[in-house]
Amino acid sequence: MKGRSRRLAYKALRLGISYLVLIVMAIWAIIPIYYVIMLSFSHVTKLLAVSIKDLVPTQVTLQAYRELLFGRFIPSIKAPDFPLWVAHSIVLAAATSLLSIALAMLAGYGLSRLDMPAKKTLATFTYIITFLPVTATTVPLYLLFAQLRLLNYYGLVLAYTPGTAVFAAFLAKLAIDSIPPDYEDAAMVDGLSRFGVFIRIVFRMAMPIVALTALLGFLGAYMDYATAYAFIGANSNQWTAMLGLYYLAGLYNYASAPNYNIFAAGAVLMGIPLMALFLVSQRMMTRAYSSLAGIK
Amino acid sequence: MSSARDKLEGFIYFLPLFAAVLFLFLYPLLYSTYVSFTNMNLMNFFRHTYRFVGAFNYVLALRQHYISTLLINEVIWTLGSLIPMMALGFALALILNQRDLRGKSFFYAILILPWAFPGFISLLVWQGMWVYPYGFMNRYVLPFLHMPTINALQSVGDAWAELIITNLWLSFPYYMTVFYSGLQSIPAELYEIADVDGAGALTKFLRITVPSLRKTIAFVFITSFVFTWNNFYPIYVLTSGGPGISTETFIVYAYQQAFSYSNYGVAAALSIISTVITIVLAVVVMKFTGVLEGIT
Amino acid sequence: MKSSRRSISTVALATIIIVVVVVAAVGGYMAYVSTRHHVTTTTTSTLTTTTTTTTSVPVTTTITTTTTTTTTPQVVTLTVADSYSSSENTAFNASLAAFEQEYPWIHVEVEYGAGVGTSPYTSEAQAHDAPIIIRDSSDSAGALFAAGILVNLSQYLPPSYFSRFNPTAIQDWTLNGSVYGLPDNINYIVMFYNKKFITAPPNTTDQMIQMAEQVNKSGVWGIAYGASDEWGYRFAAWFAGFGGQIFTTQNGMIVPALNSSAMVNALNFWYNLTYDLKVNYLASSTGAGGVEGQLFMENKAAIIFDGPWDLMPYFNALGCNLGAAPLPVVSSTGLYATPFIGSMGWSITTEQANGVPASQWNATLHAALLFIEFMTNYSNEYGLFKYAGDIPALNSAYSAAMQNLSAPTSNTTLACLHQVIKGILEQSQHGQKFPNIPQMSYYWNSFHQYASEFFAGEINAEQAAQGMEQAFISALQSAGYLSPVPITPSEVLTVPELPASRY
Repeated sequence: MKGRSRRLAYKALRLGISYLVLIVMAIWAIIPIYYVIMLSFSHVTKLLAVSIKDLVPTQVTLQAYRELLFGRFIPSIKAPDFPLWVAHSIVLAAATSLLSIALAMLAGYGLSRLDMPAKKTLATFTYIITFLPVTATTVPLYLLFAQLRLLNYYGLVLAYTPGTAVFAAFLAKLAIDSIPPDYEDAAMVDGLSRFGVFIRIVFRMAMPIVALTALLGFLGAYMDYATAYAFIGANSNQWTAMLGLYYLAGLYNYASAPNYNIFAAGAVLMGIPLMALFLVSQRMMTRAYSSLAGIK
Repeated sequence: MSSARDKLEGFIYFLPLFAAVLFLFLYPLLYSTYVSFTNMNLMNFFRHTYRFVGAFNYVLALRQHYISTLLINEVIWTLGSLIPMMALGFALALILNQRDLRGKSFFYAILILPWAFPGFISLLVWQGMWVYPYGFMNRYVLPFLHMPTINALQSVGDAWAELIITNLWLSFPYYMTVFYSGLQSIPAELYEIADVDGAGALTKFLRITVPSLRKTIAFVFITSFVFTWNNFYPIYVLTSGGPGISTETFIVYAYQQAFSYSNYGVAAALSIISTVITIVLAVVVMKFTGVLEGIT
Repeated sequence: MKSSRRSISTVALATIIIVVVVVAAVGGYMAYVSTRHHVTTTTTSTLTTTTTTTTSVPVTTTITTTTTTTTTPQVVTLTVADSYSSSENTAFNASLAAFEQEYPWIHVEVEYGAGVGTSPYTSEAQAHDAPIIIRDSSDSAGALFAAGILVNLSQYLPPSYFSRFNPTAIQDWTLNGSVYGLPDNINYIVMFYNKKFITAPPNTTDQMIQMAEQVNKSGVWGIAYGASDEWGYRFAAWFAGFGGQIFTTQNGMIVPALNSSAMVNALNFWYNLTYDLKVNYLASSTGAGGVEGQLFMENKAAIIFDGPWDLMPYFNALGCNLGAAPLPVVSSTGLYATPFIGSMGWSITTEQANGVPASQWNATLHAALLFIEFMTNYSNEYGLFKYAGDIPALNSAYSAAMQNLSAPTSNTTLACLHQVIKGILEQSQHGQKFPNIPQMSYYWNSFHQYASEFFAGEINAEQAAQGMEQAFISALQSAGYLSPVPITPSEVLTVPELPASRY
């Protein structure tokens, strides 16, 4: 009897502590996000004026969103700024996606199907490269691109692509490994060229990896600030969404910082879709890995 | 049976990616190495009147104690972030792994938010929250917890506290997820056998859980070490390396030298040092995890 | 098999050719680009030499070497980087409209909210994409001029033209005898105070401390001065007040003089006010948009050190409670704290920096000169005074401003504003020249790094002063300003040992 109640006491204690920790952690995890969402719906204009009352949604207003979407912060631009910045980011990210897909799929196919000389050294070399984040090469790329007049969107796309493409190439290789080569052999016997086989058959069958590459390339390019600032930060009419957000937060130039709730609205508008995309990409990655785990 | 033609063909498919890596990683790094031996800065960049100065930039960095300061900061930053993050992630994973815990998916969904929400945007929000003494943290949260306020301008310890707490918030869900899936993959029979043998909770933990996860922990530690070493945004947004250079890391300092002070020679030197260190670490990871075998 | 082998080889061949072509193109382009720069520098130098003879000719016909003598001028587009605040822009926009009316063949594209300082313009100049006309501060424009990015206006405008401006202002814009910009205001920091808490401004630092302690008792910060966010612009006033100077000359070379007891005392003074007496709030950002200004405008700080560029936001917030006075005398030395008297002005970038094609350069330069002359004329400078309280650099506008301030008015708000501006003008009697030599650009970083470490309690004042001096010297050596020959590592090692850092 004593043992049983003791075990029950242990269990209650264990579960009690667990729930307590989880609740505390959950509150901590959610406070900044809740804070920024509440601010975006409030009237607060200055960071210093934020008080605890603002976190309770007594007065919800869409004013910040309206000012964000239709406002013009940088007067020399003839259109509302925020949609323009987002458009720039989307163009940049889409271009990076496409280029990454092209490079990654081609390389993955080569690694998988065809025998390459010095495969191991090449693969090692490119794998090491993936450990360098985009920001590590920002300074060298800037110095080089300044000489080549590539300090613009073209340069940015080129800067973003290798990081994603290298990682995706390995995933592609593993994925293509799992596609039986019979389809291609049959098609080539019928007279289709190797490249045609690649496009028509393998590319289609490896669509999940293609989609994953597209998503990773898109996210990588969209969420970058450092390289974009280095390359095009001086031209406010070329800014991307992340550069715009940095400006809205008042960190770029204190004197011309817009109201703080506009920044909050921007953070929410950008953050929620990006978060969703990120979660999707994570799920795709786990699926890709688990389907490939069988191969090894 | 691979003919020379097949080998060439494979190489051609790999070529675009390889060319991209060559031109966008290797060549800029080589060019940067060259620049690091010159005195390139604002004054002579434009007129191409910079001169070869040998190892002056490196000697200067050593002489002014930049390199030693940066190295020590890097160690504080990586270990100081990783240890709490892994401990917290592990603890949460253990808690979530309890079979009789209810509401797992609910807690999991909330706890994963900090990692899912775009890091750069979260940092902008956190930056506003840390302003002393009117930001949300210093005004409400820390007093509520009866903890001393944190003023990153006033003390280096405070600045590190701010950085590590924010970094912890940003990344603990990742470790939670990794360890959780690791825990899930431990077969339940092991625990059942231990229960039959009458083992206590602590023994089960030390004899079953930890050894099974050892490889995961080590892999995660090493890869996260490299990632945190080169993690640019938290330091750049929150403290800008201040006060002075006491929270600077290589990557942030090189970026500031290049784009805020136009000291391209010095920036290049620091970039190269940081890249070399990263490559060494990457090779260590590779050798340790043997990850390359599965790829080639 | 046969057909596939043929198609393989065509694909392979095509790819090889494309890759080779790309590599050759990139390599060739790089070689071309690197040589092209040398070519353009020679062409600009010939252009300047041919126009030296025209300096005595009236402004409107400076470029007589152009071949176009048609009656309808070529249409020119000017890109302008406008760094005015919003109240200043009221005056600027009116001038812009008048300019476009008078010169319909000049199209002006303005980028508002442009930053001040060297970095944005250097990266743009790199990409040959800089705006044709910029408005910058005299010191950072000085660095740009030394870097070859700005046009030397002395080549195109006669000395008599420059004498229409305040001599200090023109001095600010002169480097080695060449003028590189036309000033549109003079500026410096002053002490703004809130009359709600401080009835009469302090004359000495002892008085200032007394008043600040009084104010502190009511829960309001006496002073809000973010000394650790400082880059040395405002602190220079205190440094001078304690008897220091930034540069001295040794053996004909300009060397830094930061490592002095004046710096130690000035640093300790502010440390004392912040941590011991606790009357100063160490703000994390400066200016009206920063934490300092926000506190001041919300009646949470009584004294703030800022410049007339932020006059309008403060006046709008505090109204007649706003007061301005010169920085006080430092009690221990009896010297005034003398801020830098700097100047903002308009400059023209070189064709290498802005990428204007050589065929259009003469016409563009002509239009740009007309523009900057127009923007520094009486009506724009007086307008800046009228709408934003800027202190005109043009003598005629300055006299009109003084007259305006002395004229009696029944409008109380206006009277209050005039009071404030008078207070601001008093400071101009106690200022120091703003060094615009290229060496100055290495001051900021050296100061900031050690000052912020000092205010974080990591090093003491002596170490901070030594550290900043050392960093300054190293930066100058690295840039070639302190030694005429390339530095060999052994020379570096003979430089005095750095104080022990915390490691």
